[in-house]
Amino acid sequence: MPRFHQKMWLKSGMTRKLDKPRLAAPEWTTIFTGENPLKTVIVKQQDFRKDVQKIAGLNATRIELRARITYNYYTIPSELNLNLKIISETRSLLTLRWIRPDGSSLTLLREAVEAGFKSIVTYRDRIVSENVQTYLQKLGAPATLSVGEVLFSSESSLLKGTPTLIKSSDVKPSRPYELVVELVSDSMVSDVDAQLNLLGSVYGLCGTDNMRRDIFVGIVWGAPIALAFGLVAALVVTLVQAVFGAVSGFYGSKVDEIIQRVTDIYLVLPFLSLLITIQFIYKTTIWTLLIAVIALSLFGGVTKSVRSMALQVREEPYIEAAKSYGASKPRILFLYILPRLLPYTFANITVSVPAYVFLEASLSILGLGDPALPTWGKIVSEAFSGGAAYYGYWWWILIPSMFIVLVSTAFALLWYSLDKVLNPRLREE
Amino acid sequence: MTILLSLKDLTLYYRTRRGVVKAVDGVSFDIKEGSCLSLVGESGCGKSSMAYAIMRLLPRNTHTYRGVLLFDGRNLMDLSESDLRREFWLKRMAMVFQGAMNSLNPVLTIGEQLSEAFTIHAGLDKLEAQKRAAELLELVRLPRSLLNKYPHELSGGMKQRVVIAIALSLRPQLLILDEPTSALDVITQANIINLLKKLQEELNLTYIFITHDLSLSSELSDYIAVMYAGKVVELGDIRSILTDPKHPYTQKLLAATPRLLEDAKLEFIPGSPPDLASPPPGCRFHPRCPYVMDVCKNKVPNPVKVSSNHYVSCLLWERA
Repeated sequence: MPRFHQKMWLKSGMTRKLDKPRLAAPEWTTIFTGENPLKTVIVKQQDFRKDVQKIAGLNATRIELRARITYNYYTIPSELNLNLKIISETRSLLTLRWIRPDGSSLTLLREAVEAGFKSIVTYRDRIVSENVQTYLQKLGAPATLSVGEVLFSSESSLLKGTPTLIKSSDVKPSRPYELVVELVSDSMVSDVDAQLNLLGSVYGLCGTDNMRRDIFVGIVWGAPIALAFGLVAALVVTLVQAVFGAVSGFYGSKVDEIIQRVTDIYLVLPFLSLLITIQFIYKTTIWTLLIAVIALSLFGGVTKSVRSMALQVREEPYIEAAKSYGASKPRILFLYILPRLLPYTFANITVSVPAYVFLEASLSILGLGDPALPTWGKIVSEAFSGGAAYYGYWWWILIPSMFIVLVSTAFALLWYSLDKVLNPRLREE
Repeated sequence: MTILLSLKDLTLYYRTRRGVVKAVDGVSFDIKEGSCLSLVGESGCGKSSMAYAIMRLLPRNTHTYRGVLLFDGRNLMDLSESDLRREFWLKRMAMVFQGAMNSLNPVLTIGEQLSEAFTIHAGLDKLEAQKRAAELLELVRLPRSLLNKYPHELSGGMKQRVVIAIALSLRPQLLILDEPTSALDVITQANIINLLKKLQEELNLTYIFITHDLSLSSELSDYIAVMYAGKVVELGDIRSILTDPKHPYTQKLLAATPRLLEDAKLEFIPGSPPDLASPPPGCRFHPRCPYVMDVCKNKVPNPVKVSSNHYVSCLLWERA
């Protein structure tokens, strides 16, 4: 299961596909900004119009792929990425041509390519920018314009040095942008497939991080980890402490003394520093971290409070009656005393779940979390090291933090209602 | 009738912050099989401690515990706790506690608590145990439907019957009843006492009935042992104790018992029971005794046989 989470998180940010923008805000932010920026548009392989010509005499193949993009947004895409899968026995000639709605066009690329996968980040590709520079020179426009501006502006505005976006609807009748991918190869068995990604400045429900990962995926796959860590830690720690407390209170004398002194020692252990040391030395995963947390909390506050309750319960007449019926000590402890202390123990479990969720998050923020798993704390930690607070990528910090708070609130509310049921003074008549 | 239980010099002291409390101080008597012996006395005279001493259910702060407890010829003092658990508790002797209201586990159903003894001690399977539990309920005249109820759903009298049923589950010979009716109203008291009488006939039980209520003890018992400050001061069959009490304390105690339709003013015993951590020397009753003599202040009285079934520990009778 954890391995699967890990895969989902990494896949979500798989860089080769380049189909998610970097550091994009959540899509719903446009409701507040009132803008209509580009949301991610992906032209899939099957959406390309494919035209294959086999020239038998020359033993060559010409393949043309044509993508039509109706573009009516107010901003240019933050990225324009093309993924190609080229099948060929030999090197082939690849040509990329860009046609604007007004009919003007430019050649982005013309080069010999090997078969295989190829990703072209048009805004940053060296050959593409050289070609764009040549185009600008020919046109007589200033060379300072960026690739994106050149691709999405009319030639006349480029000449003036003030690029203005052409929308499909600016032309009557409305016409799309077109990207023509042409592959010519000296081989009869050749093929090309493409995917074009126009990335905007907003993405998904929770935005993306600096590695193009969808934060929503991190949140969703981090949830079971946060809950598992919190629940398991709270459940095991509270129950173990409760059992020790009950044993201590019920058996009394030497056993009591030993358990109470050990508890005193546990209570003064520098918990966080010890965890940091363990993590530092052993480079543990989240599950071994969980074991370390449990091992460091075998005795604690619950031991003390349950002991004090056990001292009361063990003096009740029905315990004495059970003794006279010949009930053994473990039987009295587990069947007669512990059930009386369980309501308190359950309430305690619910309050300590958020504490452990927080602990996991804070350890991640300190860089002591699991290196591979997507945990909420780790997303916050990466946001912190990615300078999200400084650059104002608020979604990267606030959304995972909000979920941590949400879980804590949920368990706190659960505790409130449990308390109402279990605490007779709060019971409504 | 054979003697079922014989106590010789039974002693139980507690360790407390004020010193050693002599709760039971050298008590000896015999109980015949099928009879009922009442232990009567004021609060704090060591009646309940006697019960614990006989059951060998000792509290944590036990200081001294000695004497001989011959149960059917075997000395309980020589047995280990696991032997007691295996052979005696609930199987041959059982106890019904003061305040039955609190003697039931609040988190288990009546059925579970009744069948516990069968599954644990007798090794029966759950189904069989449930059947036996239902039979037990019938034995104490309760409906079977109580099996699935929790203690808080029952009335005081019902709880008391359930506690008696649990104590009877493995058919012990001896039942120690420690104020079994103290928190019940008179009608329920009468019901429980009648039930105990019937059970005694049906199952040939021997009772040790601990109470502070002389009239209640006269209903059930064959013998009465009057306790004062950790000692038995007078022991005899019910008729001789009630009609011809010899010990000044017993006389005073009977005079302090309210009677129906008699307008006599109730007497009370001046002073208060002694502190068992530092009891008075000699006869322990001497500070409150109307017939006190000088010798009473130093000499501890020994039991004197005044008639065939009647013993008294008083120097008045020792001299005569």
